[in-house]
This record gives sequence, structure tokens and C-alpha cells, in this order.
Amino acid sequence: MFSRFIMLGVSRRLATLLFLVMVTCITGFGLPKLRIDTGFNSLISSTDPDKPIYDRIAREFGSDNCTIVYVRDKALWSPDKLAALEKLHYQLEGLDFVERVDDLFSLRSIRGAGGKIDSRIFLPKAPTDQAAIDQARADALYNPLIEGNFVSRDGTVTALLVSVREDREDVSFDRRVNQALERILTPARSVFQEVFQVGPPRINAELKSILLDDLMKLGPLSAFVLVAAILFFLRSGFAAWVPLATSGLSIAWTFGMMGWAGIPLNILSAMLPTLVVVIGSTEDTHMMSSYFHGVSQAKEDHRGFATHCMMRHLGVPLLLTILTTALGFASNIFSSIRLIQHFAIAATFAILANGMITILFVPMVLSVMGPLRTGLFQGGNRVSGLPKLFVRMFGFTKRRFPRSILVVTAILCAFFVYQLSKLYVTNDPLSYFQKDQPLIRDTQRIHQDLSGLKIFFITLESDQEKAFQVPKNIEKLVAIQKFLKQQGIFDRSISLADHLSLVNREFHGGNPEYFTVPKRRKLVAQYLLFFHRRDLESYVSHDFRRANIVVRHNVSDSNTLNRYIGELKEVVSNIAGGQMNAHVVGENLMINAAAESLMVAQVKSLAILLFVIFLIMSAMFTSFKGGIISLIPSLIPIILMFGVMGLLEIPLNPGTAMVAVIAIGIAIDGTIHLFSRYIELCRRTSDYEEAVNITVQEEATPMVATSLALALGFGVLITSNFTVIAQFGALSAATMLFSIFANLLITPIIMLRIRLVGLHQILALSMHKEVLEKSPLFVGMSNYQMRKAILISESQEFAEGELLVEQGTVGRKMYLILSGQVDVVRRSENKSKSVAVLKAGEVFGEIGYIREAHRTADVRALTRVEVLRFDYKKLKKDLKFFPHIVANLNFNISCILGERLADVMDVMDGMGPQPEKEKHAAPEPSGDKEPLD
Amino acid sequence: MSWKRMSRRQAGLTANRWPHTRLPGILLILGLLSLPVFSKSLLADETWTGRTIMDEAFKRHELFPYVFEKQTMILIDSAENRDVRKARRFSRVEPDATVKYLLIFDHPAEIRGVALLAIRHPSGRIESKIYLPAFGKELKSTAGKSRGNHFLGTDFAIEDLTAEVLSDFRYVRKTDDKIGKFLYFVVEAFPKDPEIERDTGYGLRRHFIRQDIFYIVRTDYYDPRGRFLKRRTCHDLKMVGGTMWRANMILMENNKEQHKTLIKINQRVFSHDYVPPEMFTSEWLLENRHVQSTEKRLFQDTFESLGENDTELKDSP
Repeated sequence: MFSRFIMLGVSRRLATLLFLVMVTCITGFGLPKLRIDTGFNSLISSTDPDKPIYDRIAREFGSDNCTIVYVRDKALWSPDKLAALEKLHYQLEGLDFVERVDDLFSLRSIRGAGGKIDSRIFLPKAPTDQAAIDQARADALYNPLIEGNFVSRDGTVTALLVSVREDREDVSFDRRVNQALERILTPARSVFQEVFQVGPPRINAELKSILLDDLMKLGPLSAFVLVAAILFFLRSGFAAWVPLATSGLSIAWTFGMMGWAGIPLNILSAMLPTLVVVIGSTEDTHMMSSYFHGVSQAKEDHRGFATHCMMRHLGVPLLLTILTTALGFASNIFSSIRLIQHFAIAATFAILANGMITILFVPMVLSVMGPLRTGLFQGGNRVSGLPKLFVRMFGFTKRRFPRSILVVTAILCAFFVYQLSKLYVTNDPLSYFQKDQPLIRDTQRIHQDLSGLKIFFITLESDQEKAFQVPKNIEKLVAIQKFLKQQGIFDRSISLADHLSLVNREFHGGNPEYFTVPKRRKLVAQYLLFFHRRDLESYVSHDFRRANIVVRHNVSDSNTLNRYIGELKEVVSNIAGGQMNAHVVGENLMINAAAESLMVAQVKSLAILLFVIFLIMSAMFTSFKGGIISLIPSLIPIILMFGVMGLLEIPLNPGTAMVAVIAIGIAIDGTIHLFSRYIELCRRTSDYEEAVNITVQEEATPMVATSLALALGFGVLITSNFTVIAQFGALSAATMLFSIFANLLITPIIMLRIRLVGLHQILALSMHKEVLEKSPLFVGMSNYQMRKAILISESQEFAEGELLVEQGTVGRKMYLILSGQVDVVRRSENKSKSVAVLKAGEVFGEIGYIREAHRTADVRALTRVEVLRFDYKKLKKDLKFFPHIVANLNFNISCILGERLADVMDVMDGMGPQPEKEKHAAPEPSGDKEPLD
Repeated sequence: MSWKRMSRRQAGLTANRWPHTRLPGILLILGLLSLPVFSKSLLADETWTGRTIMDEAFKRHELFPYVFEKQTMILIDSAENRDVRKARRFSRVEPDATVKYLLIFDHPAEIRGVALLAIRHPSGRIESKIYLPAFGKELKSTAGKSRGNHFLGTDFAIEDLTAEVLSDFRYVRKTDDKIGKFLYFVVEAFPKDPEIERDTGYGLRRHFIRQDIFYIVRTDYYDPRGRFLKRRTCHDLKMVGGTMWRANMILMENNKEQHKTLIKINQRVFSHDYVPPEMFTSEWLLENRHVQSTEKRLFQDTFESLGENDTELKDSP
């Protein structure tokens, strides 16, 4: 059934074509439904316990989702500039989505002196006389809630804090807001020296814009690199065209599915085209390489023969590699971070779709229009070019210093594992941008001149009504703010305590010593009359049960932030005491906290993936040991990759977090191809080293080609405007190069030390069941064991008249006839005498197998003969790999020998019947063929 | 006619005339019956200008010089959370047209005794002082002009609570409007000069004046850029004497801040005795006499018998 499936493209061309066209059409209709999501919500872990608390706090105290309009001008405090600033304020306030604008034209000034207390808006209207302007400037810089927050210390910069009413239903909301803000700011740029805005709408709009840029740039660029790499390695335009076609179809299917399923494009999805082109092409490259190999060997019907050869050789590895690569992506499907989850679903689908398209499309196309010539294998299986260089280099080292290589690799891995301990995580959206992006520069300017753009809340909750009119409770806010200052990492915090301290100071004529919270509850309540609810709604609930400290900062490193926040949470909880609940929350904090879950999810995904691959490989190679060993070549690149991250201080972020699982999925492909070929070759030779060499020679070209193509393809991602994608690309590329080292140097050394049998071989084995069941060699063995025993042996076919064993030669091989008949002929001087005719199920050469001796007769095929050959040396080696099977075989051989001995004794004693045929310990036939291909 | 322009004689006349009116039932009924006819004739008269309409409205409603009110202030935020304060309001128009205004908070307990004393001098200058008993025996002068200010956390500026100075504004009559079952004059008030505009913080106020009673039932406030800021509406109108009406509920809806303030008049007394001149002094407040106020001492029994939402007119002794 499997064989039929992989050959569908050849056997049912029209149906296959129709199927591909139909699916393409259906998914194509989903393309217009595809939407882009760069919202921060997708970065927050859905399981974050702070999310409902944050939602409640944001509802009560206002969202931390604000845009800062930065205005800098040396002559800011002049009539013209203030008039322009006022105009800006009103224009912003006039936008339909703007909830409020906090700036000098809306914030409250409280100032007391000479028995007066003046509570009013800083600038109810732009003043026209210089005296009033100077007073306003002095008032602003005098107010600790304004200075360094809304006005820079030198007075040349001011900020307008724009709060918007979010419309979550409107997918283009951020773009609309950003455009509206920019429309207003554009003319203002000719008035002020510097004007810009930074906030979620701009960040999202820029993320979206860069995402589209990346989509337009990365896909074609990776396709170009791929074509160049394939042209270089396979020297065929057709070979370059095939992966482009399969990738194009896969991308269309994937985006169409995403449209239908409502999965949005996010910043990670921007690299989907590149991933599909690059990863998808590896299979195409292997297939084309195998096809060309078939073409070079075909005598007639080049296309048909080569296509069949290709699918026979690659069918199983193809399916396995698709599965393992898809698993690599799928292991992130359960990530609690929606950004990663959506990407994982899309990428898994893309890989599976690409696999299906490749299996159906490539054989179909090749069988119809595949190239009929190739210059690739003119020198037989000889490897050439860059792969040859790798093979030579690694081959030399491997032969000379196999143990040293393993030791050095182990030391190297240990060193990189140590570097891994320096690994840290970050998930800050601003860290996705390159540092030279204007957005990042602008954010830094705000941080330097005012306070950081990022906000979080510290909320204390009491069950007592008016708790935060009680001075000792307000003092708790002061204590927390004092600790924040001690931490020295956050720019500024503002609370109810600051407002009350300010009024207290002003009631005492501006004496700074009185910038303290009033000591009496009544005074607190009476000072509060100086504020409108709007002035305090971000800091205290209407019933004064809950108080909120607003903290601004500019920390982008999740690791640092999470550490400080952890410390802060502990202190806040202590200060709050048992009577109050304390929360430290913010959208920004949740995004950064997701970094922690990113790490946990990464470890989980990696563990699950490794376990699943281990199971698959164990099943594939019918051995747990085989499962473990096959993971080693995949693990080495991953360890090196993580080590490089630690060494170069590249953080684990939503992009780099996926490298390991994806790279394992891809790197295991090479291992599967190597092992599959090696197992196949092992059936035909007892010289495993030679089998390894041939495997490496054969697989080096597609492996080096695909790894380099992958490295180049991933390398394309370095040009992305997103740091996360660029880092992902760089690390993936490096991992692909590491995998060449692992697969061509380490895998052969490991392969030499193992002997595996493929499950697919066991299942696909066409067995002469009746013959084998009757054969004394397989007595007491189950069907599965028989199959495995057959696969440990070498299978050979001989034409009629062909010599299997030649008298007088020395050999340690024993034969089991599967089909046909052989004639045992003893030659003496000029006479030849047939001493026996052996048929299916019978064994010969068993004495030579046990003891080195000359063959005493020829064994010639009477008909077309199929035999299983058991080589003593090989079985001795295999004893450690398949102890149970080999022990069974040896036991049965000893039984056979025992029978023979008994027969001989009977003959010698004249007690038994004369045997119809003579049994011969056939000497080693010099004519044994050991075809390796 | 404005407070500023009102002469001592006029103020005295008003004050003296009031006791003689005593609301004889028959006059009230006749007055009521004549209103529609009177209103109809007014409507027909196109000679009414914005200014004359305002003059008439002020003449009818704003001139009683001695008022005491017990108020409940309900502050409602955008989430419909409510804060309730109780206060007493005393106002007095002096013969020289000086208007004195005292607001004393009684509830909640923490702000009991907080007082705002505002005096509008005949020149138009407003002098206001605040007294916080918890701070100590000191009155702090506060800014007289509103300039976008909020009066003790409400949505009213001090000027919204006192009568406007008609001479400071230019009134333009707009097309009459019918809202519900009543016809309204629509009069727009523009500050006469930028300084007034800056001081008030309003570029335009649009009054809706009920044509049958010449009472400003609604005022829409706009900023100097013509953007709608807030709306004051008067509810539960009661005729309190002759052609004079008063609202027992005043709602200010602040569109910009998404906040509302409802002032509910629980009790209103028009009496000289309730607003003795000495209570509008710093000493009165600093000695905390406002906390155990005269009216409470003198009329405690009356309060208890009247209950809430009653309007009472008292003669001068």
C-alpha cells in the first residue's frame, strides 16, 4: 500500500494532477481571508495567571497601552511653539479614537505660596506673553510629577501621552491610528526641531510593514539562493525548477489554509516561504540526486527506471524525514504563546503539505519530463567537488583517529553545554527590531529625555473601604516606590502618595521637607478634594480600596526585567502585609514573563521531540540502541548551537527558541538517509567499513548539497529586519553546517559500531514462508525473528549454471536455498560426480561456517537460485548487535551439524540408511559475488 | 441684569418685596393660567434678542439675594461609580452687588467642615478661599478664575455655580428649538474679549431657555476651539414664588472627562436669617463656627419637620 502511495504520481498521473489542482484552488480561495496579526496579545502566554488580574486592573486604572508624542525644541517655551503645541494637543484630542491626551494642556498644576494655593491646568490655553510662559515653564519643572515625566529636565522636550480607545474588532485599528497620528505630526515636524510618536500603534504598524517587507524579500531571495545552490551541486536547471514548483504550491496551500482557519500571519510566519523553500527543497534535492543516479544507470526507459529507483530508494526515508521535520515544528503547537503556536501550526501544515506535494508531484513530473542525461554520476558513485573535499577530510580523520574524534567531540560538547548555562531569554517586542531602526532610536530618546515608554502597575488591594485614605496604607506605596528607586532600573513611578505629598508640600508654601504623605487621615481626605477624579483614576479606585503605582521603564531584556520584577514582587508582598493583596502586572511584564514559559516550553518541546524521534528511530531500526544512536548526530549540532548562543550572548526568543526543534527535525533527515543506505548496503556485504565508506560517498553529495543549501537558505533570513528572524536564520544556518560535521564525521564512526535492520525492510521482505518454516535453520523462531535473521544475512541470486561454491577454495559461509535447485558436484581428477541435488529450505556449507576448511565440492545452480548467505565473521560481529537472533541461528546450526554427525556415524556404523545425498562441507567459493550496489 | 450691576435699591427692593408675596394661592393660580398666553405673545415677538432674553431670564430667576441650600453632590465616574458628598450652600447678595458664597461640606466625615468661601466683588473680581480644618487654622486663597478648573473635584467651575456677568458676554439668539413638549429660546453666549475667554475656559455657551418660564434649563459648554465640553441640565423645576423657578436637581455631564456631577437640592430656604453676613468671614470659619452653624442651632426643629426636598421661604425677623 505504501509502495502504491509513493508511486501514485507515476501510476495515476491525471488523478494526481487533478487532486493537486483541486486542493490548490480550494486553498487559493482562502488567501484573501488571510490577515496579519502583530498585536502584543499573541506574545502573552495564555496560561499566565496574571492575565485576568491585569485585565481587571487595566479596566479600573486605564490601560498601559499609550502612545507618547515626543516634541523637542530649544525654543519650546515661546508663544509660537506653545501655540503649535496647543494645536497639536487639540488635533490629537479631536481624533475619534483618542480617549484622552495628558500633557501640559490637560495636567493639573498645584502650587502654593504666600498663603495661596493654586490648583489648575498647567496651560489652559497657550500663553502669549513671555512672563506667563516663563511662569508655566517654572511650574512644570517645579512639579515632580511633570519634570522628567512630561517635560525634560532642561525644558526642551515635552511629551503628550495619548490614550486610545482600542477597537479589538478592527483588524486595521493600529494602522489607522498610526496613520492618523502621523498625519497630525507631519506638519508639526516643520514647526518643532523634532517630533515623533512611539506606542503600540506605531510598533504594530512597523511590525506589519517590516513583516510584509520580509515576506516580499525573503521568499524570493531564498528561492534564488536555492536555485543557485542546486545549479551548483546538481548542475541541472530542471533540478532547480522542481523544488521551486513544490515550494510555491506548498506556500499557496499553507497561506490558503491559514486564511480558511483564521490563523493570522505573524512575524514568525514571515519566514514561512523561506522555510518551505529551504526545507522542502532538501527532499527534492535528494530525489533529484537519486533520479540522476538512476538515469546514469538505466539502460532503457531512463525516466521510468530512474523514477522507480528514486522512489524505491527514497520512499521510506522521504516519509520519515517529512514526519520528523513536521514533528520538529509540531512540537511547538502546544506553546501557550499564540505567536509560536500559530507559527507551529502553519509550519507543520506547510511541511506536511510540501511532503505530500513532493511525493505526488515530483515522480509525476519526472516520469513525464525528467531529464534524460546527467553529468553528475559519470565517474560512477564517485563524489566530487565540495562534497568530495568534506568526504576526504572527514574520511581521513575518521580512519586515522576515530576515538580521538569522539573524545574531542565529547569535550567540545561539554564546553558548549557549559556555555549553554549562560543562555538567557527575552521576549520583548522592541527587541525584535534591529537596533538601528528609527523606532528603537526614538524609544531610546524618550527614555533618555523623559521616562521609558514601557509601563507596569503595582496594585495594592484592601478589603477595607477607604483604605487608601489611611496614611499608614499610603506609606506602603511610598515604601514600595523607595524600593523601586533602590533597584535603580526603573525610570519613574507615580502613585497617590506623590499626589498627596505634592499637595502637602504646596500647602506648606512649597517647602520640600513637606513632600511627604500627610500624617492624618482627615487631611488626606481633604487634600484629595483638590483633584478631579480624572486626575487620580490611574492611581486609586473610586472607593479607595485599591491603589496603583504606575511604573515607567525601558528594560528590554526579559531576563533582567524578570529578575528585578521577581525581587520587586517579593518586597511588595512583604510591604503589603497579610491584610492586603499585592499585584505587579503589566502587558509588558506578561510578554516578558512569557519568556520564562518560552524556556520551559522549549525544553518540553525538545524533550517530546527527542522522545518521539527516538521511538520512531527505534521502531525504524528495530532497536532501542539504534534509536539512541541515531539521535547523537542530531544532538551534536543542537548542543553546539545552544553553546554558540551562550557564547555570543544571543538570547532565547520566540525566533531562536525554535531553532533547536526545527534543526533536529532537519538534521535527523541526514541521519535517516545515511542509516537507511547503510542498512541496505550491509545486507550485501560483510565489510561494514566499506559499507560505511560507500554510504558516505553516495550520500555526501545530496547531504552536503542540502545542508549547504539549507545553511544558505537560512542565511538569507539574516537580511530580515526582525532581529528574531535574523538570529533564527543565523543560528539555523550554523546548525546546518554543524550537521554536516556531525553526519559526515560522527555518524560514520557510530555506524561502524552498529548493525541495524530496518523495520521497513522486515515488513517489505518477500519471504518464502513455507520454505523457511520447514528449514532447520529457523526452527523455533517467530516470523519476525525469521525476517530479521534473513535481513542480517546476505541475499543473493544466481542464474542457472552459475557456480555458488567452488571445490578447493576456502570459505566461511553457509547457504540456505530459498528457491530453485543446486547440484553438488565432486570433482576428482578428470571426473565429476553429482553427489546431491539440494532444493529450497536446505542448507549447505555449514561446516565451512563452523571451521575454516577447503570446500570439497562445487555447488552449481540447476535453475535460477535464490539463497541466503550467512557469513561467519559477519554473524560473529552481529552477535553483539542481534544476540538473540544470532544465538538462535547458532543453536539451529549446531542442531543441523549434530544431525549431520549422527548421519555420518550411522553410515560409518552401517546401521543407518545410506544417505541419498552426500553432505559436504563446501569450501569457500572463490566465485562468491559481493555486489555492493 | 447682572449681580454686578444690581444696585443696592434693586437688591433691597427684591428682598423687601419678596415677603409680601407670600404665595397667595389665588395669585399663583392666576399666574400659572396666564403663563401660556404670556408665553405665546412672547414667541410671537421677534424683537426678543439674545440679550433681552437673558435679561428677562435673570430678572425672573436669579435675583433673590439670600439663599440657603442643603445639597447632595453625587460624583459619577465613567464606570458609574458614585461618590456622595453632602454640603450646605449659603449665598448672599450684598447691597453693593457683592455676591458672597459659602459652601460647607458635612459628609463624608473626613471632609466635614471643609469650606469654600467665594466673594464676587462688584468689579467682577472673584476672591475665593478654602478652609481645610485638618490642615489647621488657615485659609488658603485659591484661584478665582476657573480656567478649566474643577470645583473641588466636581465638574462645575465656580463660575458655573454663580450667575454669569451678562456684560461680559455677547448673546446671539439662534433658531428656537422644541425639546419634548416645551419650546426653547436658544441663545449663544460668546466672551466679549479673549481675556474673559481665557478666564472662563469657554469659547461658547449655548443656553436653552424655556420659553414659557424663561428658565435656563440646559447649557452646553464649548471650548475656545468650538469643541463640546460639557452640558448642564436642570431637573425637577419648582416654582418658588411668582414667576421664579428653581431646579432641585442640576446635572453636569462632562463629555471630555466622561464624568458627571449631580447636585440635588434637598432643602432650600430663602431667608436673610440663614445667611448672616458674619458667616462669610475668615473668622467664622477659623473658629469652626460653620460646623455648628447658626441655621442648625436656630432651625434644627424646622429642618426635622420639613424633611428633604422642601423649599421654604422665611421672613426676616
